[in-house]
Amino acid sequence: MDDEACLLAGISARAIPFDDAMSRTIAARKDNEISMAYRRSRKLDTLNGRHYVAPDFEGIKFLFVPGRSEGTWVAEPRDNDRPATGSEGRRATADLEARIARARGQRAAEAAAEQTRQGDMSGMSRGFRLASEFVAAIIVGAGLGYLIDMFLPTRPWGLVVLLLLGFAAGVLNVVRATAEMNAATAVPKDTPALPDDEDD
Amino acid sequence: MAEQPIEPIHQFRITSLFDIGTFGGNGAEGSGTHIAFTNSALFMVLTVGLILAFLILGSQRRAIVPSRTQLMTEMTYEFVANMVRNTAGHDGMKFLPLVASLFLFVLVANLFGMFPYFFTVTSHLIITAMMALLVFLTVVIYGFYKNGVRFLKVFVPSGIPWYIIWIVVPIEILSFLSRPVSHSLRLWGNILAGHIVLKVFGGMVVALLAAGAWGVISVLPFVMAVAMTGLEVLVAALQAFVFAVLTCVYLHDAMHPGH
Repeated sequence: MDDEACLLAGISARAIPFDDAMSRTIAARKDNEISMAYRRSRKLDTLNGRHYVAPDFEGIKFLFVPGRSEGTWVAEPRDNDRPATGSEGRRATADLEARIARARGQRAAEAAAEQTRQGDMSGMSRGFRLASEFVAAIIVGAGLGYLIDMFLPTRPWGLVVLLLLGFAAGVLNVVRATAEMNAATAVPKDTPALPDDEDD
Repeated sequence: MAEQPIEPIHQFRITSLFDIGTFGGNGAEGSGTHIAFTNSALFMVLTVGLILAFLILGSQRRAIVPSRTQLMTEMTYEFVANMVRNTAGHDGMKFLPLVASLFLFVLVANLFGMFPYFFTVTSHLIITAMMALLVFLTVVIYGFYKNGVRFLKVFVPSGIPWYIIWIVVPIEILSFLSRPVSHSLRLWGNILAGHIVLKVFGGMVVALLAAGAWGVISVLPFVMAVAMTGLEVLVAALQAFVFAVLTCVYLHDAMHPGH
């Protein structure tokens, strides 16, 4: 999620402090050949031509082979006096944090909207669902009652009683299906309450 | 075409493509079981063939970087697998083949039906009823196999006082028995109604065009027919989804009886 949020904000998390602060720190170490390579390659680097890495990526030290390729600056351990803890760094981090939070919020909203859209079936199919639940129970009740009457001398009470029971089962089915649908479509928190339509 | 009355239900007519034979009976007209390869059977074969071709083509080269076909196949699998996992629970994954087969069959059959002159397999109640019965019997048999007598708890909601149970249990039994009916009626009704409505609007366009000056307003049903076509594609996919989700819900009951 964090990485995705960073991507959404259109930034690489590590690229931010580079421009303002880090380049100065690195410039102070001009004699270091490694940092020269660092400055030259401000874009993504290809380590040994196999892996794409961020410019200040430091996590794959095991790939470090001295003199193997120009990309070996990657193996440079992270500078402790890097101004990530300084005021500028903090500003940059705060800015980054805000952007990540914004992107994440946007994403959550989009996900919620998507959820509503998926859970919210078209009105017709919703109606069909409820109607079929209701009608099915009545059909089954009436059919079962008719069968009982055919084989037992209870005519017409089997049909009458089971038709009514089927009606009750139909209502139960509809209530269950509605509860299911309501659970599937969570109401957003900021939905305005329905106006009270009582007459008095 | 003009003399022929517009018949919205003509599209559901079963015709025999070639006869296989008559089994049983005494040789008299109408006796025995007549078995023929019908247009419905043809489209069932086409549906299964398309699904098989899609899945086999997609899983042929199991590349790490998938091709487009492989990606589509994997997305289909992921979609169904997530649906089963979310609705039927983790132990419901053993029914993934059943749910995936039903879902893909209904989906492809529904979408086949959206092509003009194609037969819609799911517009016949017998097909949907058999699929719903398959699910129902799976639930009942597996429920008793897995839980034994405890499966009957599905009829007894917990926390009900004893003097109400005598009313609630018959209602619950009827509710349970009505599941395959509503399960099959819903898919069948949606597809049948949608196709009839499409045909009626299409027929209105033709009838109005044939009626001389009235042809001017034939634009209206035409626009409606176009809109309904879009809606029907949605319904076709949605009903396949609903059918599969309800299958998962019922299977969940088979594994965890008692609400």
